[in-house]
Amino acid sequence: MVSDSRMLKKTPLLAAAVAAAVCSTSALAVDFHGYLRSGIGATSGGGDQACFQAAGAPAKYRLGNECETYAEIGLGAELYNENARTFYLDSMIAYKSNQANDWEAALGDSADDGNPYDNSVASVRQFNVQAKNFLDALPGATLWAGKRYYKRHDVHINDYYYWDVSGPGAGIEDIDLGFGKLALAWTRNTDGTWVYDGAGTGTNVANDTVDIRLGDLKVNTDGALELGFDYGKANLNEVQRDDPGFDDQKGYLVTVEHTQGNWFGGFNKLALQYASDGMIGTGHNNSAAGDGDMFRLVDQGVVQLGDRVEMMYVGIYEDKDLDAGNGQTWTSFGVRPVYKWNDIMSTAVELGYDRVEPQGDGDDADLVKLTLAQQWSAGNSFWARPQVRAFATYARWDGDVYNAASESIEMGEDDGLTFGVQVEAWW
Amino acid sequence: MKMTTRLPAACLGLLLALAGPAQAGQTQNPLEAEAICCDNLAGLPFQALPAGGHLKFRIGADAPRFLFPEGVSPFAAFRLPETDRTLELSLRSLAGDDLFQPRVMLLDAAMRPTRAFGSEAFPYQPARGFVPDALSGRIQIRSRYPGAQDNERYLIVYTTPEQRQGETRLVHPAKTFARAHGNEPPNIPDPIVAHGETGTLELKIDAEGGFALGQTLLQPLLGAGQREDVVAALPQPAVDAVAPGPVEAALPETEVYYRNAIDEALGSGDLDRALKLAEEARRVGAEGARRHLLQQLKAGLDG
Repeated sequence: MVSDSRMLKKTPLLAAAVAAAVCSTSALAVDFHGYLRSGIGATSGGGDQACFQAAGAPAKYRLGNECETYAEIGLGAELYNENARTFYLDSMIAYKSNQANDWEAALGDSADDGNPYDNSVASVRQFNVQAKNFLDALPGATLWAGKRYYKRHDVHINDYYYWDVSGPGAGIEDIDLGFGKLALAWTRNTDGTWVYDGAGTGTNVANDTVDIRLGDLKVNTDGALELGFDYGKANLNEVQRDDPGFDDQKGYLVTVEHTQGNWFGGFNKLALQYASDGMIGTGHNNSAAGDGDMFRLVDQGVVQLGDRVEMMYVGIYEDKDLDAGNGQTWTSFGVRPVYKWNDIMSTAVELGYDRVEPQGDGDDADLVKLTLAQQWSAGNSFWARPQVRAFATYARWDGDVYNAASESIEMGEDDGLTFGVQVEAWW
Repeated sequence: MKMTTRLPAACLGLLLALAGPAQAGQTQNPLEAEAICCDNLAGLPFQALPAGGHLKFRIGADAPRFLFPEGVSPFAAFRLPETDRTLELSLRSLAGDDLFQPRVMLLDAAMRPTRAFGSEAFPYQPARGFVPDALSGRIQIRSRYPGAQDNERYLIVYTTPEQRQGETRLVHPAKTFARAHGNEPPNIPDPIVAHGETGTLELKIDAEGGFALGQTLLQPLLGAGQREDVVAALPQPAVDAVAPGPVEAALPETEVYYRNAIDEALGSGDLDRALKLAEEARRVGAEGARRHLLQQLKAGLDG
């Protein structure tokens, strides 16, 4: 591996990562993690596959309703292990394209100018080191620094991340308090305020989030509670502070989450969140946000309905009440029952409903989506992957406000039918 | 796996066992003793396993049983290929509705036990990619040159009463998903599978270094990953080197095996079996077994 260090500087990152994976199998064990979704689809009536999302809704139900290729390649390795002190290096490269062509160059230009040959993007989303047992006074605790997916909480069936402070950061996690575990972190997100043209400073605004979590609180049989407090603040520099065009916006997000195991053969997760001003959202401060507050409820789970049926469900209610009157409420319900024919084949149905109601004047937007998919996977668990699925999706919405995410759906239409084949894998 | 009693010895063993169930009562459960297939290791129904072979088999309630030193256990027995390359064996016991925690005994060409691998050699590997939750491990088969008497040629997969008391805690698939995604795993209890007498297993035998580059890269996905870890996890006490000396030299564990087996036979009042064991032990160079039998008999007379 030592001889590789020169090569690493010259070759593209992906190639270097692959080379590292190959070379290292003899030297040190590399953990290869990753995710993939890709496939092909079309819209009834002609054109590329359309994907259906209610206007203003932060998420959409994903089965048979994903139009892009997205992949993550994660490589990690334990670099040091002496007396239970370990240093672990983790990395992840993400890739996304419109799955429109064989050749889709990743030029790093986020503005999709419509050229189908250079529409993809790639990003190093994780590169960090985690030092476990770094301090004798904190047995079991881990000190970490670098870019990291930090304790993200999501809903799988609509790909919605309701608590996610990921980014460059540093922190200490797994501090054992006896009755629970404490984690402290400082993470960064940067606003695109460079477009602010009042004073034309052209500067970005760095935002800080201080994240405090107290988790693993055993409150009932197979049940655990996690409490989270996130304080976010725009970290303005001197020029920005002197410029009235920039806001010193800040806020906080409080999360209370209860996880119940052995819940009808699966589990249930209930999260309640309250946020103010800049932290209205999912964990990052927005320096240009208006004042107001937000309440959100997310309840989700997977249950076993008999020997052959497993189902995931979710209910979301989010109320953004902004002083400027431009908030909204979002209500979402979805279920995905899966019937298992045998160890590798299953049939899934996904029914999802989203409704967005503006706080002020304006039309409500709603959308209902129904997907039927025949699935082949390695194993029959709800979570078994890789999975290849052939699907047909029908969606119906309030026509005036729906923004078609595709050239295949015209403005004014109020329903659509798509079909295709998709693979999803994680490892 | 449906173990048909192809070998006459196995049939004979079964008949003998059926003929004398009353003898077995003292130390063994009569039901267990009743099902014992064979008299000695050489009589086990060995199934040929070709190099490069990949076998998925089931040890079911109808599997043959044998009185191992640790106790009666259902088993599957295989004859390994003769080759001049070092063979590598991958054993995976799949966690499903049941789970068979394996113990593996290797025998040389003369049917002498060479090495045994306990549960430490087959640690739990969480489900990943195409591979379900399993207890899995890899073993290098020792082979000096084709035809050498002390080449490891036979493999027996069984379990012990002690192992059957145990259980394996699996990683909940929702947590596996979360970790692969870099998400916070849900704080929920993991499923637990009790170890039993039945289970589904996979056995793969390959020449060492037989993996192509692509396979090496995809090892985690294909389930053959963390090879270094597994080999490192082999229990040192259980792995005694085969002395590359004369064939006549019996290994200490061979001695121990025969002594234990003789004790078992005596304990169940089966003097005939004990004598047969002593004779067999002498043939393979385990001289101490005969002495041990005589001592035990003498002690019995004195007492």
